[in-house]
Amino acid sequence: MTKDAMHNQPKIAMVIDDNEIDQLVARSLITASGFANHIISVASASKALTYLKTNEKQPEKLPDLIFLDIHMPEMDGFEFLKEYHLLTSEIKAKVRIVMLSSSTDSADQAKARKTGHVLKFLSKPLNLEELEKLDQLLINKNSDFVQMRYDG
Amino acid sequence: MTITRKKKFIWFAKSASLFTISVSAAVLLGWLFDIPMLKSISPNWVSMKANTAIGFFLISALFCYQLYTPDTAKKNIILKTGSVFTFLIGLFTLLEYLFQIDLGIDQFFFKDQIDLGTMAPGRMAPFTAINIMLMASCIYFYGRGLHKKNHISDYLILIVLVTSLIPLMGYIYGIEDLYNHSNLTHVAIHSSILFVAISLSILFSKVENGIFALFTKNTNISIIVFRQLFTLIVLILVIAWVRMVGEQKGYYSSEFGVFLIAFSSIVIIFIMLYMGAKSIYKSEKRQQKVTTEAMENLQLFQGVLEAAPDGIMGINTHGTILFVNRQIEILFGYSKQELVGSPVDTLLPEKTLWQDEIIHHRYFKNHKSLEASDKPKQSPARTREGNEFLVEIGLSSLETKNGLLAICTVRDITQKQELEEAVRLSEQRLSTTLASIGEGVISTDVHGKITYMNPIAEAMTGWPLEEARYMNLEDVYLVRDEYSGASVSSPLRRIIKEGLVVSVENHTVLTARDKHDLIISHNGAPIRNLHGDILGAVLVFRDTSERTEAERRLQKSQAQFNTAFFSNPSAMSIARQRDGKFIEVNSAFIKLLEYPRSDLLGKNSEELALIDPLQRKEIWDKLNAFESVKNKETTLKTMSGKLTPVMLSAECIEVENEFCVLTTLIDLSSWKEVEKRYHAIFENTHEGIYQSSPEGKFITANPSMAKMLGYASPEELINSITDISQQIYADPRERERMLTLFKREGKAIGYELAARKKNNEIIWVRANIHIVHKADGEVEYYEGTIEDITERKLATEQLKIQFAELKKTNHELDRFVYSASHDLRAPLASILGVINICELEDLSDTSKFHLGLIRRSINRLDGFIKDILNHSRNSRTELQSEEINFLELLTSAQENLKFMNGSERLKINVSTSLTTPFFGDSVRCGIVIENLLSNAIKYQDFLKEKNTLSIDFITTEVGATIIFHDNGLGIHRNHVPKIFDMFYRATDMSTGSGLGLYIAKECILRMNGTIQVKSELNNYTKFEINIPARSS
Repeated sequence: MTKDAMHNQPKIAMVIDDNEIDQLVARSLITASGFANHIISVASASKALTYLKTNEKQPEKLPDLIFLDIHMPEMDGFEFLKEYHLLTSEIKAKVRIVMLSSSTDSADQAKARKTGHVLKFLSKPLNLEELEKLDQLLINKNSDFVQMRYDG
Repeated sequence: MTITRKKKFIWFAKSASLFTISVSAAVLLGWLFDIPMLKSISPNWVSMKANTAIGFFLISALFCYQLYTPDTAKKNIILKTGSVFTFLIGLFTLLEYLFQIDLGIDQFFFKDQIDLGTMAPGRMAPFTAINIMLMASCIYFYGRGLHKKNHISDYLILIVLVTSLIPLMGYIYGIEDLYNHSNLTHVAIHSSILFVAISLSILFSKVENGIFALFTKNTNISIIVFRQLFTLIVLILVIAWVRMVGEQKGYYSSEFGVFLIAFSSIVIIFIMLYMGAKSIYKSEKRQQKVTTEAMENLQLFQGVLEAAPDGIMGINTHGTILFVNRQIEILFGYSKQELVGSPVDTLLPEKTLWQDEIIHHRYFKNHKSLEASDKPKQSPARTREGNEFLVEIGLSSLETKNGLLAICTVRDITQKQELEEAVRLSEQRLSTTLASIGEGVISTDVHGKITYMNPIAEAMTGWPLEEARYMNLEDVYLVRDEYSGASVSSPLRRIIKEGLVVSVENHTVLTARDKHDLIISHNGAPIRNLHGDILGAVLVFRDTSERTEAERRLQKSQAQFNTAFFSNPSAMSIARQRDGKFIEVNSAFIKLLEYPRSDLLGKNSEELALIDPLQRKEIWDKLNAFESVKNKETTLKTMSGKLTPVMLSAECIEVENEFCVLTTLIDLSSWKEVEKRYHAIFENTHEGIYQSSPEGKFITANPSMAKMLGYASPEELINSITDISQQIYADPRERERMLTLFKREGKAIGYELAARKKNNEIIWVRANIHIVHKADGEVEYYEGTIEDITERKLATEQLKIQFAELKKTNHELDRFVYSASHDLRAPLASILGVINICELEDLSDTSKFHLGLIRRSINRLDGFIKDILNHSRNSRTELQSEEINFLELLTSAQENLKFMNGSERLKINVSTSLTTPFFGDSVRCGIVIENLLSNAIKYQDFLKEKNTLSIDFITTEVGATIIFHDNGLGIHRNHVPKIFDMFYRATDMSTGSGLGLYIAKECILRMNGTIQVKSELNNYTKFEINIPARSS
């Protein structure tokens, strides 16, 4: 898949964060950078899971990238990753996850990396440069991913 | 020779065909460029037609191709195709002649005009056409491979050769009719030459099986015939030419010419044949002589073979016998017919070294003949009747037409062995005799050096043979006259020099090594070999002191007793039974009682007051009743009055018809000392020491034991305990458990158990117990020490509880730090996020400035929180061990610090020498690197044009070294010692928490590492960190 092809598709980002201010910050920056055409804001991990499951058969509604906070009431980021692991491969084929947390604890980073579903671990707050890099990374990863699937 | 001659013919064949190729090519060139010289050599002669030249070219080229390349299917196809094409050229030309037609092939390639001796332009002579067809057929046979099977191709070529001589001779002798038939095209001179050349080439190329093989073969006849034939042809041609020239010049008439030819032919042929026949005869004769000689040699060899006293046989590489001689038949009892062709194992059944290794491996494979240095090998052999005997085998190799051959000589060495055995036996018999006779025997060599002494001689002289061997007889055998004392010259010289038998009956004294004298008589005689030469002397001597054999024996046992008595380490004495007076004491006895020997002898123990009178009486009562006293402990008073504890044993013996008492004393004073010392330990140690019976009673116990268990004395303990398991063990079953452990391990070390005191109080003790077994393996008693560990036990229990509590606290603290870090950082991150989105908007410069101030303050607070958390984590978390990727750590630190003021300005150079993987705590290393990097960024000298930081990562077996070297602000000398202190800030410009280097240092110390700093204000700062590799 070429870079252009990627850009031609409407890109959907999902922000999972219970903190409204952080939601706002993420949304504003994603909008400002043009990183995604559409942003889904979800205030809890469980709601995000419900959304993903509901739209399982409609890949066009699934987000390309999820910004996932760690510290959330009810279900935290790691629990979300556990549930995510059990989702269908159709969902996982499209969705990438980036951790976006105020945690700087390397243990948290290691834990996230271990799940195998996390593309990158970002420290809050989000900024434009990070988004730029992420965009680049996503293109590369996607082509890698396609490659991997063909390689079996 | 064989090869050279054949090679010569092949060479000739090749050059002749190459000659044909080049000539035909030249003619074709002549046609191509219209050069008459090349077409017809002389304007008077007819030209070689283009088609002829093509024919020649094709034939010779094909033949060359056939000569130079190995046979393949492809080659055969080429040969066949080429020859058919060539054949057709000839055939069509011939058809044109026969049917008077023009098929248009004559000038197909080149134009020609009616020329001298040409019937139609470009048409070759019919003779040429026929010969070309013949040769093409020949090549075709080659293509079919028929040339190897029959001689048809050879005969075809022979026709070509003979017929082409006709036109050639026509040219030589100028007879036009020979190359010209009426109005048909003439045969060109070079055509006829080429026909001769190519046909000779083909004929001679078949050196092995062609019809000319008669000439090419490497036999005498071939050489002679070839030479004679060649000479004959040349001579006849010359004579004919001479005759013709002579006739033409008119020197003689044609009749005379005929005569000349006839006569000279007769003469020449006679001479040639005669010479040829003579050569053949000679060579035949030579051959015959060689054959006769070979036959004679063979007969000679066979004669030698048969006459040889040893068995001889030939064996090939497979171990098969090829021939044997008469002796082999005699040795093994087989006939020649039986042996030839059978394996050598038949005769030499054992696969010995020489068969397997030498013949098949070293000997044959290396083509190495066995030289004289290779010793004959011994091998067992078996006769036809199955009798085993020993043979000696010699080997040599022979290279024959049929491969390598081992010539093997076989000698029966049974007799030799038997002889050797007989000699050995007789030697043994002799030496046994010598060893057992009652007289001393010494033999010497011719120089008087001792070669042998029998045991008696050894005993009498006091010299063992090992020492005396090769010594001069005079130095060992010291003799003098009994009365005069004058040394008697040893009889040796007379025996050896004069060959006399010497006999001295008496009055000679032999002085033994220990200066002990013996009166002896001796005889001496020379030792001679078969020829009567003296080889040495033998001396036989006898102790003639008038002692009976019985006396001597007694003396011997006396001597043994003396040794046992006098050198015994125990004190021993012999006293007369009747009065108890000492008649002999040994040195240990003297030493023990401190009396001089003279004071002891002739006195008894009562007179010397050695022993308590009562005890003495007790002992002597027994002895007087002829009872022995065993291991009686008593005390003796020494000369100095010291009381010495001893163990006394005494028994009655008979010495020289008198009853005596042999007493042995063992000094117990040192034993007593030791016992006393141990008893003191037993009494005074704090450990309880006891012995207990299997039934559960105490046998012994020390005071500490009693005290520990709350009893007043060991006696009270021992008496009041009837069942240890019930009364002492807090848990009665505990003793059972321990006994089970004993059965398995034989002892119990550090066994902790609860014991009951007299007042029922429970104490904890730690016991070391082992079993003492009886002789029959049953348990005799248990022996143990115990130690009161009640207090220690309680303290340990306390410690365990405290440790658990501490662990819990620590864990809670961990949780607290973790959630605090989130709760503290989350709002800060939100604020920074809001600033980020504010900055997206169009703001006034003032607002931007203010936002910047907020961001800086928050960053500082954030940094401080991070530092505090790092510190808290460092002091609590365990060291991890994983392979550290320093560059990755650096990259992530750079990533974390990229928003710091001036981070983009600092130029970082990294160099690495990571020879060994380094295992360590990656989190702590990361904290250190980030802190140092953050300092380097923070404390840049912004007045300098360029700020650089060079970072080295070095890993070795010993550990890792990290060096940060910047050209920043540097640190003032006064501040250097304090920079690692908590909350210390060396500069007022600092925005840091004052925790960075403190935490870095703490982390390094946790990893047992060191950090050193060198700095010069306004110049540079260099940190060097060393972290040792963790020995896992």
